[in-house]
Amino acid sequence: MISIPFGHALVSRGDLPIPPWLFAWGAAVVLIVSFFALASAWRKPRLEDPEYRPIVPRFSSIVNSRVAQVLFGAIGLALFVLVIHAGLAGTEAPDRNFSLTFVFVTVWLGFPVVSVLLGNVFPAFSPWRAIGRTAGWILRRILGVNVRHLAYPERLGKWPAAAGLVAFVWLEIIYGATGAAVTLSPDVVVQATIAYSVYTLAMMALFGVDKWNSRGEFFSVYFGMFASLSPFENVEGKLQRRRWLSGATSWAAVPGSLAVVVASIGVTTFDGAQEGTLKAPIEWLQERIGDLGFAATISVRAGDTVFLLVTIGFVALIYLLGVRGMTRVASAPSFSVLRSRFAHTLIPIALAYLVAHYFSLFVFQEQAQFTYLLSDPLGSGANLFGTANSGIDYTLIGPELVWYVQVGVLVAGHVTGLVLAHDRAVLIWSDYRLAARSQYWMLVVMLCFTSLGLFLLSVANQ
Amino acid sequence: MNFSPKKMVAGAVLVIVALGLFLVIKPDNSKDTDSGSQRPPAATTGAPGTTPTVPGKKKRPAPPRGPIAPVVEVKGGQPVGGVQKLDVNEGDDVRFTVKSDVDEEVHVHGFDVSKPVGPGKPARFDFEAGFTGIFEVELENSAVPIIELQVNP
Repeated sequence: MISIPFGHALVSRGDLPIPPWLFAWGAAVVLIVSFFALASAWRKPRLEDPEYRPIVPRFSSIVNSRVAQVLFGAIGLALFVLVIHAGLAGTEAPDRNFSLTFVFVTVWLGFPVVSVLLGNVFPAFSPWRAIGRTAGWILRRILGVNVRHLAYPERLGKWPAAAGLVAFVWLEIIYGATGAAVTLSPDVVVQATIAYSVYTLAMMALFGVDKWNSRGEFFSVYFGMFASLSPFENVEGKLQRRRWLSGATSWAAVPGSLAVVVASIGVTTFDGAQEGTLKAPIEWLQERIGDLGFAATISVRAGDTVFLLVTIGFVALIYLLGVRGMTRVASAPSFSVLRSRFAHTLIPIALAYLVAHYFSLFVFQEQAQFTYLLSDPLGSGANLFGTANSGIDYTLIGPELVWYVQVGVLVAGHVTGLVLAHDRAVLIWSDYRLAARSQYWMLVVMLCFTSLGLFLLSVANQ
Repeated sequence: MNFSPKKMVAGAVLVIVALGLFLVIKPDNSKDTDSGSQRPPAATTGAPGTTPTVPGKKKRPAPPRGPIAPVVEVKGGQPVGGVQKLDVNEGDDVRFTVKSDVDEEVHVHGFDVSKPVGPGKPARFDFEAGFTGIFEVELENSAVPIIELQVNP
């Protein structure tokens, strides 16, 4: 029931479950807003083909200048080097080493929120993009090599990113936190980082930096997914403004996008359920695997892995059943068309799950990140900024605030998902009544995800 | 968006009614705390008066009829009877004793209290639950969780 497993080695505190009275209120509000959404709907798509308006021209030309681009890349690269250095040379105590908190909390949980608010900022800081572009520049400008890339197999789409995303979370919550005697050590993180970097740079060399960034480099694809909700985007070297959410309408055009968003929801669901509802089934399976003669560590990881995949499959099933339902509405496009054309409506759900599960963890761990992990990144007793002896103040946010944020973001994600789905439906069905009928199905889908989200955080999931 | 005025009003009224009801009915956590919630795990006993206070804290007299401090036994590196649950309220004293047949370090996460334990050297804990949440108490060297401490508001 503890939500501690998230990088258990890092995290010392788990959230209290949402009490039944607040659970009931959350569910009631969800129902009210759902009926409200059904009753009061617009009839023409308002988010498709967004108009872009350039903003802050001077600031825009500064951040898009060559100097700034190189600077951002250098910052990303420096932090990347620090992660590797701290992992190799720093303490093996996970919670005292800069690397783990930085990768799994600051970057992994921070960038989704930053991306929604400010737009797609990650690529500017991506160390792999910086290395790839520098290498390309040296080859072209200095060595005069005519670099030619392979054509990316577009049928693969974003599937490599979906696989990378699952692998990353697998490393973090299954490989890293499987009970007795197995913890994610900074050592392992460094090895994984180096392996992933070699793979990423090789793919960038094969298919081109930007192509791989938008298809296979899962950090970029994952953060970019959340950035599609943002009102800001850098288009043609200019910062531009668009309507909130409107960027998401074109996000899922590439194959495999659905897999990315389903995997995002699935991994968070698994993390929330593995110590609660799924605890007994997982342990049962682990024992069965152990009975076959496998070592304890292997059976623990194998059992977790099976249930992680089952959970992702379950999330996909909820969505696909809703899509199947929509195909029954008159003059509906085919199942496969609808499946990809509504995939982007799950992005707000993925964001809501992420914030609901990890909000308090982020608030608490960032205190560590900016105090003792900053002053003493290696855990070697250094005190660079005089903050090495500060700790985490667990009284900073109380349980009620955490609960309200959790319920609030789930309701907001629910509403936003419905808005995106409705807007897509009125584009697909020119007859408004048919569009409205198709949306009963999406309402069921969103209700399932929101109830599941509430349930995972509640007393019932103990 | 094409909200007609009527629907806008209906929606606003619903939300206001819900908010109002929420404020009226919402339970007050400061009053309905369950005083008897520090349950000792079954099959364990402990000596209440003997727990020393955490160094650096002001001494407080042992409560005359306070709950019995639970004892968690570790045998062969595992807690007897699985991970024990300990429920307290914020501000309460958290008191428990860990006995172990192997030398280890008992670490209370979050509150960051650590004590050595070993054969014939039980680790006695007594600290104030200053903030809420769920915290693991584990054997630090082997990373085996032995207690799940839940601090309720």
